[in-house]
Amino acid sequence: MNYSRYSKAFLAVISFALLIIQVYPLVWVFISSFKAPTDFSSSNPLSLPSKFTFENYLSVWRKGNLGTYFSNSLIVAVTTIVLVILFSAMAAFVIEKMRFKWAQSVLFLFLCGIMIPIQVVLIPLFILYNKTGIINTLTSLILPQVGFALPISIYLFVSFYKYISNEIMEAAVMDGCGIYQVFWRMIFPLSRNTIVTVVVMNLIFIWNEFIFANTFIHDLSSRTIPVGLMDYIGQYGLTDWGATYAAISITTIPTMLVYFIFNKSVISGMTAGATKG
Amino acid sequence: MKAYGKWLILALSLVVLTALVSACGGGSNTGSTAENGSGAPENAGQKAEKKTYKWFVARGVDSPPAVTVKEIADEFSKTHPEFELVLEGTGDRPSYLQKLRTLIASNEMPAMFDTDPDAYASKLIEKGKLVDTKKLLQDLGKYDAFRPVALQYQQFADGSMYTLPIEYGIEVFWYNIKMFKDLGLQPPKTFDEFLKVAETFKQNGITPIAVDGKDKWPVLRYLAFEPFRMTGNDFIENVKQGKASFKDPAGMAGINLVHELGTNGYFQQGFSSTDYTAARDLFLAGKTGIYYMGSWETMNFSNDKLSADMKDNIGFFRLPMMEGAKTAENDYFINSGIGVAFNQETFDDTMKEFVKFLLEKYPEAYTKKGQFSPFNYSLDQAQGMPEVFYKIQDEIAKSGSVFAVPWDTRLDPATNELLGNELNALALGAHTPDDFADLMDQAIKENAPKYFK
Repeated sequence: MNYSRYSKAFLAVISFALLIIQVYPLVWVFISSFKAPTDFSSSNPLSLPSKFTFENYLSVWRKGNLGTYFSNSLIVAVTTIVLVILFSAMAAFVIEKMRFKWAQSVLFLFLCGIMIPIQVVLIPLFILYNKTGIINTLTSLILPQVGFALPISIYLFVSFYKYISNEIMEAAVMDGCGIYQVFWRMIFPLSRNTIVTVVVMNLIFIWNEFIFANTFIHDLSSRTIPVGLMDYIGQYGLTDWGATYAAISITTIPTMLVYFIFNKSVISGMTAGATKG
Repeated sequence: MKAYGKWLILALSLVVLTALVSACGGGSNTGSTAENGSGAPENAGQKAEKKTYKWFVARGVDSPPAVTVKEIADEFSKTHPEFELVLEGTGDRPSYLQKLRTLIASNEMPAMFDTDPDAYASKLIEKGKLVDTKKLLQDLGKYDAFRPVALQYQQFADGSMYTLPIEYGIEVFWYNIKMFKDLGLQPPKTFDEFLKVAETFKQNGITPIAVDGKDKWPVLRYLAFEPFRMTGNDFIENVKQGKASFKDPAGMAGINLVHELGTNGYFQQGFSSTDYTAARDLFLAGKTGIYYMGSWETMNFSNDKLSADMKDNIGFFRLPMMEGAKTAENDYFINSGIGVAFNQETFDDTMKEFVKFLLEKYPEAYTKKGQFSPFNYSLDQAQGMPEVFYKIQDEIAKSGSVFAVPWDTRLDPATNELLGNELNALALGAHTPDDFADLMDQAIKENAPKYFK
């Protein structure tokens, strides 16, 4: 009896410590975004601001481009996610449920994509996009991101589909469903958790993606947030920390919201395919 | 039979794919130069057409040099409506270099871009891609308008020059006048005095020196100080190809200095993770006595940027001397920043005219922003600049003709990377000076022959 009470207390302490370690840096960034420039120079970096000022947020706003960067990031993220879900759910369905001869090889081919480092494709993609004229457009960011997100997403869907028994599908077909109806009316809605997992997993990568955005985009008006954040780094490595923290605070909110909302589904989505039903 | 068909289709599609891919590859050279013609020389008939020239900037588009050039370019566009200069860039050097190299590898070299006279630039020159700026300046009759050191800094070892300097800076030790006075100290003239000053500060519970250890180059300067005093730039020019050893007296003197400053706690605590802004702010907040940095920071040390405690409280002294020094007291680190290179392919008459216009306007416009230009140009007292600005301007006028070169522009990239990382370890006491010297010699032996072919 005592043992379990102690172990509970122990668990509580550990999880509280973990919570602090995980959450404190975020809180610190938020607090620092309210500091005046003199706070950064004169006091301990861990101290509270001497007075709360919205100056940093105003200066980020005045600099003006953050709104554009934000909407660009949003367009790229949403489009990429929609395409990734669509393609990977359908591809996985074909690979896992249609059972054609080369199914395993096709899956293997997709999974090979995991091994390709982003840096290797930069120059070929740059040349290709330049010739097709989509360089410097958001399309040039969406296309490679979809490509790089596909392997792992397909893998997640495949392992989830393994868990859906073929009998349900057979029943649906008996009731007169065509192949497309089976997919759209049954399989796709059933995979809600997997979809959420794929969304959350990829969203963070896509939202933070830097290399493609830095290479393919020249105009201020098509920049995304990670590239835009570099506006706060000046010559010789000088950084406007207050404004940087303010900008970071604004831009982390969407990913956090997604995480808070979908948090539970992610965990069940990850484990759903783990054991075959 | 059926299986046969499948293989046939697979093989056929492979052939078609290869053909497609190779067609793309082959076409890329001719195709993109044609598209790239935005700035290429064109017929007189098309002159009225607007041409966009891109300047890919390593300093960030908000930096004083970039802002000044852009202002002048806009003024130039008023009389030359066909000309438009577009700036793009970032202050973050690694991402800048990565993108620059991708652009150039994809045949998209910008009309203007920033580069040091390094090995990458010399490869571009071999292929005839850059404009000879020495010749350009002579053609425009502007060669003598520059401070000689500014031009020397941009030159390759053989004296050729392919970049245009637009900045100028000397590097000094800034110090807190009040702290020095309180402890009865004088600005040090020799390295021995320098170490004594540091020790006195430490004895009194004050951190002697603020340094940006994260960006590595500021610590690297400390390594180079004594070798420069002892041998001029001979040591670095020899050691980079293994003709000298870090075990030589000059090398060991530099290594020992960094080791001593670091292990005695003369640098601020946690210096290896302190960044540029934080190190400067430590000094500006009156937490440390000394801060080594270039004259580009001058305006930040002028009174209207300082807190009430620090007003009229910042002075500077030169690089200390030592016995048997080969370089004079007024020789120290001087540089004219990362230079601007011009793309030979897009360098037409309009561009040349613009450069001429730029050189006319730049010195005054840039200096009025509180910066020091690479031109023989100075502001008089009537301009009402802060006092510290005029003091540095005087110091620049008095500076010598021998200048220390930054080691990181001389070493091969692999050794340079290692040196940057291990130098902080040396200062933290993780290496003994001897081990460190061995480590560097070994690295040069491995990396230099591949690089300096």
